[in-house]
Amino acid sequence: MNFWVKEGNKKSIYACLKLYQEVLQLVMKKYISRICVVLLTLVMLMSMAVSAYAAPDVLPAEVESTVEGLLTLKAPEQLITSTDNKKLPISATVPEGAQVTVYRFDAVTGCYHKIVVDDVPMETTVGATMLYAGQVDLTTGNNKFLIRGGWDDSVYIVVKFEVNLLHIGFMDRIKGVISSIFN
Amino acid sequence: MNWGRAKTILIIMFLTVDIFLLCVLLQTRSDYEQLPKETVEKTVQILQDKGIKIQTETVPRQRTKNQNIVLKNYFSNPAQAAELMLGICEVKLSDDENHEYLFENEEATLKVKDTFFTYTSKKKVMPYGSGEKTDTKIVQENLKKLGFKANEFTVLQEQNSSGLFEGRIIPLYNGKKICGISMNVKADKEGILSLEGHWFSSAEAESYGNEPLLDITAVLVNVIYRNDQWPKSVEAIESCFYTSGDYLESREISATPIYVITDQSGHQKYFDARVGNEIE
Amino acid sequence: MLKKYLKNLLLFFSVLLMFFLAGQIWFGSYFLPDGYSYITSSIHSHIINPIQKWFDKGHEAGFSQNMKVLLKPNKIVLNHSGNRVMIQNGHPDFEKVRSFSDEFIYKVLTGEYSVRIKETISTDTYHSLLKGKTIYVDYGKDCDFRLFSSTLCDQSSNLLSEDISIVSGYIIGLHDSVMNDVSLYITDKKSNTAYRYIIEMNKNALDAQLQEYLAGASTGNILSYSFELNFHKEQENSASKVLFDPLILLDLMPSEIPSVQMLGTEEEHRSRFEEMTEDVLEVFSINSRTMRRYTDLENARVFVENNATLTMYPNGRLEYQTVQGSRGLDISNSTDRTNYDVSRAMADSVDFVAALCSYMPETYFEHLQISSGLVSQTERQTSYKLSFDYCVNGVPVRWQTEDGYHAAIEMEVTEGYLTSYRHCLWGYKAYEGERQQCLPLLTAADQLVNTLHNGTEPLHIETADYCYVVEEAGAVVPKWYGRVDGVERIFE
Repeated sequence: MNFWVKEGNKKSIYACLKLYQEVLQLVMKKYISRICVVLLTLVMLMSMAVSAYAAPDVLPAEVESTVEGLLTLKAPEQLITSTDNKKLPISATVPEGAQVTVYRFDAVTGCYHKIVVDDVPMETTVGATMLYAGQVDLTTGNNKFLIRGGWDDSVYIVVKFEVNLLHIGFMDRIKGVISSIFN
Repeated sequence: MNWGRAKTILIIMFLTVDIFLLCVLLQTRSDYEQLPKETVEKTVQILQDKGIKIQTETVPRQRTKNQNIVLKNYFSNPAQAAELMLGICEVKLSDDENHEYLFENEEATLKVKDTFFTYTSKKKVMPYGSGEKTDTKIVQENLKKLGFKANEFTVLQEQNSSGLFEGRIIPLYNGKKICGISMNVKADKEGILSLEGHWFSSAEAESYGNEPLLDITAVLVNVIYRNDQWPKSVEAIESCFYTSGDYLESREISATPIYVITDQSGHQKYFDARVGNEIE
Repeated sequence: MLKKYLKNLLLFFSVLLMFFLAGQIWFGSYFLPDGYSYITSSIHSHIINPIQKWFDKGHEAGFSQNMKVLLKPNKIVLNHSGNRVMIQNGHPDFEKVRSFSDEFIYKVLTGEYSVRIKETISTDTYHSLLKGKTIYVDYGKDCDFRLFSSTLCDQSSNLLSEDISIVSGYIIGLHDSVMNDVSLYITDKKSNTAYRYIIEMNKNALDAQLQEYLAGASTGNILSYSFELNFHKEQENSASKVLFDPLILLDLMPSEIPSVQMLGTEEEHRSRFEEMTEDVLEVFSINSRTMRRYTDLENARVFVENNATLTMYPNGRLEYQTVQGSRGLDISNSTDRTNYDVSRAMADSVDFVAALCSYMPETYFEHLQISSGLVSQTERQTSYKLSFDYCVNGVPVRWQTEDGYHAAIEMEVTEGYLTSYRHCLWGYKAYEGERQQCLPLLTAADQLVNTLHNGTEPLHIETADYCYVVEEAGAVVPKWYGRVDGVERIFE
């Protein structure tokens, strides 16, 4: 896991702490308020240290990117494709340290839900290679996915793509027709 | 048929054959262990014809056994060596990684770096007087006191410098020198002042009885083909062992048999007794 | 009565003494310097060897039967209906699948299966096959096709040898994307041309067999080829720091492999070290009577001859190095050194290695596998650097030393003369009771990028597999290794 604190977040933490100190000073004695601020700072830093950023579990269907160029989808190459293979490899190029999450569209809820496999979410922080790789299982018919790459809730890019899983029997019939023509 | 008499005749016959075979065996063994006199004389004649002065008596007729001598470094266990040389002493330095050690007591210090050692006595120097003759026996006695076995070394004096005995100690195996290993010694009339160099003690001999060494006569005959016209005169021929200086920084080495030929000026050359080539 | 008895005894002993003395005179070192060996070696060289050679007529010059043991696939990848499994030597089904595919290609090479159509296909088509019903046998190294063919079917030339010069593996395809046939696909690495050979045979049995193997071998790993992830090419709008060879298989989940430990204890190794010394000297033809030997301060035993030095280290490493300018040890099976190609170098080398390994525990040789490429880089090449890995369950064990990482055996042969040889003698075994995690390849590649990437050109990872590394301190850890920009290295 790559633990980091952005510059903007540091400033906001400082602002919060200052405000809190002023409030405390109004209601408590000086030395008690200072101890509380110190303790609170420690607690916040520790909680920052142990919890990495996690993308939201659910994204609305109309979600759009807040930046451009953060993520480039490598596989599948087209945003709308067909295949007869039940397993779909997904890959992308993302800057080092960014988090990549894969979502599947649920027609019932009308939202994209984070894919979880064996209780493990499909979510990774990308390393120095700047490459992300994953694999999803397809259901027969249309499958919609979204891949999100970002730093936090304000800076991210989303790429939506669809894959149509063709029925195996259909492909076999096509092959049968072609082989009988050539033979 | 009179079996009794037949048996007696057979016994006498077989015993005669046995005696005959025994004589043949002893004769061939004795011939094998010694160079034939004629061969030596012929070789001497060839050398003299080529202008090299040599006497028949100089050439040793006894054949040498083909064997390697396995030698163990005396200082591969420095603490043990220090105990032998200094007795009770203090360990001033013991660095196993760099193989560096220093031991000291009231009488002397012993320094070991890799396998090179330096022993220095702290006693007052008592040089020989101007008319006094240096005595190797004092050195020999002192070496025994330092733990070196009497039949495993020989002392060669090289010079008397400023009233001090300066020489080299060479290891021996069964009375034969092992060239390539030596300690430099400085001594006064009371004892050893300093001792430094490399030292190995013989552990075992590996014999190759089935393969005899080259005869010294074969080596001498090859000498006439040398380009440098060496030697003009052969003063001494010795059978020794040799180990190269390249391997002195080792725990264990092996010494191989050689012939040492000394010329009129005391200059020596070593020849490998197995293949006959000169050892540079 | 007593007199008679004594007479008999005396007669008996005098006869015995006569034979004894005669024996001493004949076979002692006085008449026959080498004793019995003079007679036995003469019988061997003048009678037994010629008879043996007469029976060995079928033996092809420049090829050793030991190649069949040492040239093994690195991995076999089975693919069927979306299921993909990679198996290596040590997997319970590996030998079965290997025999099955060996038998298939043997029959194609010998003509037992006839080739109906031969055609060239594009690289993309070749790659896309691997998503269908296929058995991909990957040897992991380039191999001269004649040598490859000799190893598989004892024939160096056949129908395929006019197309293929260098091969690193093959694919058995049960159904290609259009035609419903069984095909053999091979890429010639020299011309980079992929060939499809459509085979006349019943595919149904093969299909059933493949499904059976897949069902039994399933491991739950998620495997994707680099070309499926498009990790083999750069995209216009996004620079890459690393590119993977299209056929590199990426496991997207961290995997676990058994821990590995040395076979035997330190004490056993020390005593075996001592026992092996004379045998090793014999194999290297070091004359114990003319060599110089010593034991250095690190307890390495060094044997010095005029033209070479053999060193046996206490950690089980054996090194042989000839002196600069000297030819080296003659390991050739033939006196003719013209046209000394990779096949002959390999034949001589494997026979030499087999001879040395005959003094080691029986199973040692079976763990060995050729790891270097088996190709002549130029037509006039006569000097070859060859290496062999010691593998545990198909995973090579490499040794870390002060000058890098090394395979179990590394040797250099020039025109039939061995000029250098390096061998780590100790074997290893899997310790099933303990398993170690192996990082996903992408994570290992992250470390590589941090170490090697210069900020401009992307790194090219040409091959990637994992191995066990025996560190200098003695610990054995799994690591990724492979060829990056033409150089073999550990990914760290």
